[in-house]
This record gives sequence, structure tokens and C-alpha cells, in this order.
Amino acid sequence: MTHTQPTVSYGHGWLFDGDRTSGDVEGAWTGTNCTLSADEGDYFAVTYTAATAVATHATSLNKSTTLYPKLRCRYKCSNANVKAKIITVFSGDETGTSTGSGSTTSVLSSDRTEANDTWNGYYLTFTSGVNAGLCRLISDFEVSGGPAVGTFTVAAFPETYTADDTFTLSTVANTQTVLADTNSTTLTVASASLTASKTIDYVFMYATTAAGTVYYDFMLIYKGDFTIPNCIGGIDWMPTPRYAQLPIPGMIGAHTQNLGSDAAEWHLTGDLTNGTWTRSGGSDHLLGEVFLDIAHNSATEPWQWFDSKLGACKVTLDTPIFHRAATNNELDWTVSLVFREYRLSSAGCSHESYGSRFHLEMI
Amino acid sequence: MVASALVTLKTLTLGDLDTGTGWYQKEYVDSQIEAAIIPKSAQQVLNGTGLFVRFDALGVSVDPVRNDDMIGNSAGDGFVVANRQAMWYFDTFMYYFYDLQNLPHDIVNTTIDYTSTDPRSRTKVWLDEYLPDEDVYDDFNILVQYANPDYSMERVFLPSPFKDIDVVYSCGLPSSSPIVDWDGSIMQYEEKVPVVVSVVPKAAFSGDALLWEAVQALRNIAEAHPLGSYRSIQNTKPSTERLGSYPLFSSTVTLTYTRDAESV
Repeated sequence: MTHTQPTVSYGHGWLFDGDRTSGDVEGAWTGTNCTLSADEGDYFAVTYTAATAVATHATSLNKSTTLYPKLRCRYKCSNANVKAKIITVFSGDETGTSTGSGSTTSVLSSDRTEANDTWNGYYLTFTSGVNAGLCRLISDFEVSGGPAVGTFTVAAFPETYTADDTFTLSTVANTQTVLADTNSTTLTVASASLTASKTIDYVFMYATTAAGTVYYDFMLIYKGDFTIPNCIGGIDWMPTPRYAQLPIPGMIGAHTQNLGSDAAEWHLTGDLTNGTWTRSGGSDHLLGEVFLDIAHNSATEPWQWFDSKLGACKVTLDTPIFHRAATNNELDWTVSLVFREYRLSSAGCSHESYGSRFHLEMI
Repeated sequence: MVASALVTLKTLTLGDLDTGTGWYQKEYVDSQIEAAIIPKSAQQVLNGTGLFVRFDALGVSVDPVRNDDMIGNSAGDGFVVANRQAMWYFDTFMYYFYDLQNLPHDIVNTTIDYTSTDPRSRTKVWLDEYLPDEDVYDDFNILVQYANPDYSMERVFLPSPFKDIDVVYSCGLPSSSPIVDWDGSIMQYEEKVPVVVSVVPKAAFSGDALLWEAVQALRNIAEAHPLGSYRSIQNTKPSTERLGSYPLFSSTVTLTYTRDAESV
């Protein structure tokens, strides 16, 4: 029997909660071949109408994959045809902006006018436009004309770029497909380990293949998932409804008014003397120190992804209680945790059923 | 067929110490001695007054044998010597007589085989690591072993040519209980390991005093080095007993720790 252990994320590097099209560190989002929106205030909608749609953002994230080696997202597709795709773009050596109208195999740029062949063998990666997130090897670089314009000859991109598309130049391919073209009509969580020793500049979200909308619930770049070694003290899961009892003057009993479902709670108690309660890397001083990390940074990390193996969702961590005593001459050293469901969308969110709310599909 | 009193004596000596188990390699040297081997079923006819065949056979010889030696007769039977005693007539030695037990299998060439996953191993490694640091042992010979080696401990305790050990820590097999997590899976086992501390008194040091020092040393280790799984002493129980002509001072110290289940 496989030992089932809950996990919880920690250490946000960048959180995009699907709730905005501008206004945070990633800058303004731009939709190519689509119009972007924050559906239900919580789901970033990228719609394929006639061609692959891509959402790109303006400002570099500048996040080290050494410090933040993980990416997690949640998405769903509006039908069985459209597909989700996510590509991360790492920092290149140089940047540039396209000029004029070249072709799928010829990229022009008036701000890259180095000597001929300077960029031969490099990779050109678009960071905006129809080819955003795509990377091609440069076979030749020539400068001509006056004013000078550099021409990159590359393996064919799927689309012809347009003027003012931005790109990077790097000695190695600097993209990672963290989610290949995938369809799921139920909310699905995807996780990836990011290429080591890179700096993430951009995360692009797509709707590909066919007409339809991909709803991205969140995109999280973070340090890691902590596996809770045991819950010997038990797990209590409480998806609590809210009932108001209204006394009726002059009558027996009360009216019961259902006010909807409260935020669910998970109450866990683990034995700190059993299993590994420190994170890999050896920097933890205390057993269960990760919970101090989560609690301390709760001001800037609004939620963590918690998978109890009975259900999974965004949660906040209430006061962790570290208990240590000698009981019957034996060490009694435990931690008690309360994870409370975090919600951004409305109670009647059209994208969630009770099953997807708690991610029962993952069990 | 001519009856002969010549039998093959395999004299046991304890050789090199196996550091994994704390057991000595058994080595046998063959020789011929004259001995009468009286099967249990023949006692009514052959036994003299006062000799009884208690086990499979009785051996009588003038040539010396010791417990755990082996004797083979011309019929191919093999026996292990036990409970050897000397018969005297006033101040004159007459002969040795001893119980003989049939060998259930050939143990002459038994090799010591163990793995580090043996439950006794981690306790032995723990004791080996920390016992030498204890001052009390400067003047004594210490042995940490798996419990129940297949030779008599007298060969370990007796002075040269035997091993002349003063204190033996014998690590027994644990009794264990599973620790079940919330999902019903067994994640660990709580194991209680008996460590029997045995002391045979030597000159200038009483058995009780040495035993106490040896037990205290074990306590000191448990206090200073609980290790990652929080090994601790559950209890200590004196178990001194008299073995024939001498007392074996001993105490059983039960250690508790948890071990991860292999499937975890």
C-alpha cells in the first residue's frame, strides 16, 4: 500500500491568479489573435477564434529557477477541441525588436546591426507577437542598407511576425514548454520542474488547435512542495455549510436559512518525531520550519496549493501549533495545522462544481 | 565388526571476531580420543551407578573435552558436548562425563551470514560507535554482539586461551508494533530491542559493581546520543543468575526506537 502524504507549496516567486490583465509585476498582458479577460474575476481567458491565441506580458519576471524551480498552473478548456499550452522564456544574452515585414524564415531588425555572421549559431526567441515563446536557430546574419538593417535567417516560424515584435538572442535554446498542447474540459492542475540555472523572463499562455477558450485559473512559480511526512494525529476535513438559525417569536423552533458554503478547513496533526520534517537543502533549523516560512510570508503569498489527497485547493495556513511535551515518559512532539480554503471567484462561479472546487478529479 | 572406543573429537576454538555480528568464527581441530558413547536407549545395560543419559547420548572419557566440542563415532553420528563434568575419586581424577546432543544438521562449516537490515544491526552499530568513549572501559574488555551465538558464552568470558571478555552487550531481536498513518498505511514500526548486559566477575572488581558501570554506560549513551529516531531506554531489569559454579551478572535494558517501513 502506497503511503499517502499531503503536500503544500511554499515560497512564491511569482503568482498570477488569473484575476487581472495588468497591474502587477508582469506588466500589461497583450493578447495576440485574441482579447484577454479575467473571467469571474479569477479565470484568465484566452480564446482561439481563427488562429492560435497567445497571451504575453510586457515586463520581465526576472526569477531565478535555482531559487524557484517549480511551476504549477490550473486550467480548463471550454470544449473538447481547443488546447492549452504554456511556454516559459528564459533570459537571453541580448534583446531586439523586429522591423518591417520579413517572412517566416527571415527576421529583420534595425536595432541589431552588428557585423555580418555575429549571430550565426545563436537562437532567436520571440517574446511578443504571433510567434511569442517560439525559438529558432539562426543560420545566418547579414546587415545591409542605409540605415542599416540586420537580417536573421532562421528555421521557419509558423507565422510571419509583424513589426515591433520583441525577441531575445541567446547561445542556447531558452524556452521550455511546461504544458504541451493539452485539452481538458475539467479543471486540471499541471506541474513542471523548470530548467535549472535559468532566469525566467516570461510565461506565455496559449489557446491552440481549434476554436474555444482556455481558462487559466492561476500560474505559480515557487520554491517547492513540502510533503507532510505523516498525519498520525489524523486529518479532519470540514467543508462547512453556513446555516443561520432564526428564532421565531411566539413559536417553537427556528427558521433555518442556508447562507451557502463556508471556506472548507483541513485540520491535521503530525508527529514530528516520525519522518523528515525539514526541507531538502539543509537550511531548516527546526522540524516543521516550512510552516513558519508559510505563516511569515502570508502577507505577500495569499495562498498555497494544498493537496490533502482527500481533496486539493488553494489554502491559507492558520496558526501552526507546535506541541512538545513528555507524555508517559515518552516524547510527545507534534504540529497541528489548519488549512483554510482560499477563494477568489464568486460563490456561483460557473467554472467550478463541488468536485472541481476540491479537485476530487485528482484523487 | 569390532567395537572400538576411538572417536573423532572436533575441538572448538573461537577464531577471529566478525565485526558485523560480534560473533567469533568457529574453528575445529580434529583428533582421536578414546571415549565411551552410550546411547540413551542403552543406559540400562551399560551405565554405571550414578550416570544417566539425559540427552541423546552420554560420553565418558579420560581425554579432556569441553562444552561445544563435537564428537563423531564410527557410525557417522555427530554430537555436541554439553554439561561436561569431571568425576573424582577422593583426590584422584577418574574421567569426564558429558551429555551429547545429536546435531540437527552439520554446523561445522557454518559461515556467519547477516545483513545490515538485521534488526539487531542498528543497535550494535550504535553501541560500537559510542561505547569505546566511556572511561569505565579502559580497564576492561568489551564485546557487543548479536544475542544467542551458537557457542557457549563461557568461551567468551574465560581467560586466555579463551577470549577473556569482561562485559558483553547482547543485542536481541526486537518486538515491534506497526505505526499506522491516517491513510491506513504502515509507515513505521516501533521496535523494542532488549540489550542484555552480562558480566562475569574478575579479580579486584565485583560483578555487581562492574555490571552497574556497564548499565550506566548504556544509559549515558542513550542520554547523549538518541539519534534521529529518538532511541530511548524503556526500562532496565536486573537478570543476574547463578550458572553452576559461578554467577552471571546481567541486566536487560530495553531500548525503543522507530524504523521506517520498507515500503515507505
